[in-house]
Amino acid sequence: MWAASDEALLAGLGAGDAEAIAAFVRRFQRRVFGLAMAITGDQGVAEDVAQEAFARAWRHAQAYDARRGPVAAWLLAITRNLAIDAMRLRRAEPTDPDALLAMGIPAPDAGPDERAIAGEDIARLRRAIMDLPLDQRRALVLAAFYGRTAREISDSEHVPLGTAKTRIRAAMIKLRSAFEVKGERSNLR
Amino acid sequence: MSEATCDEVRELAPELALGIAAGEQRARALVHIASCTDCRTLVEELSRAADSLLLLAPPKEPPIGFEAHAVDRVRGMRPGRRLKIALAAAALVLVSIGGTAAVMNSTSSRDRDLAERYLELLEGQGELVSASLRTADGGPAGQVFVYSGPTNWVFIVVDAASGSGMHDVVFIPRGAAAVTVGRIRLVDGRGTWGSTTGLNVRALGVQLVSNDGEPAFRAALSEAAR
Repeated sequence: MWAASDEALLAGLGAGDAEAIAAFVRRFQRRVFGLAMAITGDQGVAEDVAQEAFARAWRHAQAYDARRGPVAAWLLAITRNLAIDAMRLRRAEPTDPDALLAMGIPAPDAGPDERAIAGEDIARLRRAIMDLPLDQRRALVLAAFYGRTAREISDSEHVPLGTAKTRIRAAMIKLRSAFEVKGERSNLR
Repeated sequence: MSEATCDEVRELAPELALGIAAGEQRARALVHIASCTDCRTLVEELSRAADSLLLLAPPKEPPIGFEAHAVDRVRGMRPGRRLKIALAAAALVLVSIGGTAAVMNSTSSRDRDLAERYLELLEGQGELVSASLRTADGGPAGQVFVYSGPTNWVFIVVDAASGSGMHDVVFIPRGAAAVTVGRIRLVDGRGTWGSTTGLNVRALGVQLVSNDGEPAFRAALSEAAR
C-alpha cells in the first residue's frame, strides 16, 4: 500500500478503503499542511484547512483526471482554495509574497514521495519564477497562492488595474512556456 | 448576457486559470470554451501551470495527531451524506462571503470547485444550455446555465439593475412540485450560485424568491430555450 502510486491511493481513498485513506493522508499531509500554513500563517486554521482538504479529496476523488496534472497539484489546488476562503472569512491580509517564495525550497528531510513530487518540477518552476521581474512575480504569487483578483492586486500594489492584469498575464505566459512540451502550442497572444 | 469571443477568452485566460476571474466574465468564458477547443486547451494548459506553482510551497510537519484526525474526518463521512454536506458547505461559504464582500467579485473554493468540475464535465458527453433570467416584469436580470450529463449542474449569474439580500433558489421540475435547493445573496443586483442536482435540468423552471415570498427573478429551461 505504501508503495502504491498516487493515483492508486486516490482511487482507494475515493472508494473509502481504510488503508488507502491512511496512506494517502500520510503521503501528502506535509505538503497539504505546509501550503495551508504558507497561505494562512495560522497553525490552527491551517490544520483545519488541511483536514478539510483531505475530506474534499475523498468527496471529489472521482473527478480527478490525470491528464490535467499530478495528484499532488490537484490536492494542493483544493487546499489553496480552502485556505483562501479561510483567509477571506477572517479578513486576513496575505503575507508578503516574496517571503512565501523565499520559503519555497523542498525540505531536506522530505520523504521519498515528496522528493519525487518536487525534484525536477520544483527546480524548473523555481527558475521560471525567479526569472520573472519582481512586479510580475509578486502579482503571480498574490493571485496563485492568495486568490487575489486583478482589482485587489491593483489596490495592494498601488498600480492601475490594467497594469495588474498585464503583470498577471505576462507572468502566466512565461510560466506556461516553462511547461511547454513539444507539440502544438495554443494561441495565447 | 452574450457568449464571450475567442479574443475575450484569450485575454481572460490567465485569470480563468488562476481562478480569479469575476463570476460573470467567468460564466461567459466557460460557455464559450464549451464549444471552442482552442480556447479550452489554452485554459487547461494555463491551469496546469498555475496549479503546479503550488508545489513550491514548503512542506511542513503538521501537529501531533493530525494524521489520525484527518483519517477520522474522512472515514467519519458516509457516501449518502456527500451531496447534503456539499450543499451545506456551499451555502455556508456563499453566505459567509456575501457578508464580507461583493458576491460577484468573490471567488470561493466552492465557486472554483464548480468551475473546475464544470470544465471537466464539459470534456465528457453532455449538453450545455442556458436561459435568460428575468425580473418579475420581464426585464433582463442575468443568465442561468445548465449542464445535463453524468452529473447535472445549474449555475446562476444574476446581473440585475437592483435587488439585495438573501433569496431562495427554487427549482420547478416539469410536472413536479417546486423545491427550494439553496439560497443566494444578492448585492446591488448581483450574485452567483451553482450546484449539482439530481433533477432533470432539460425542463426546469428556476426562481429566486425574495424574503417576502415573491419570485423576484425567474428563468425557464425548456426545449424552446435551447
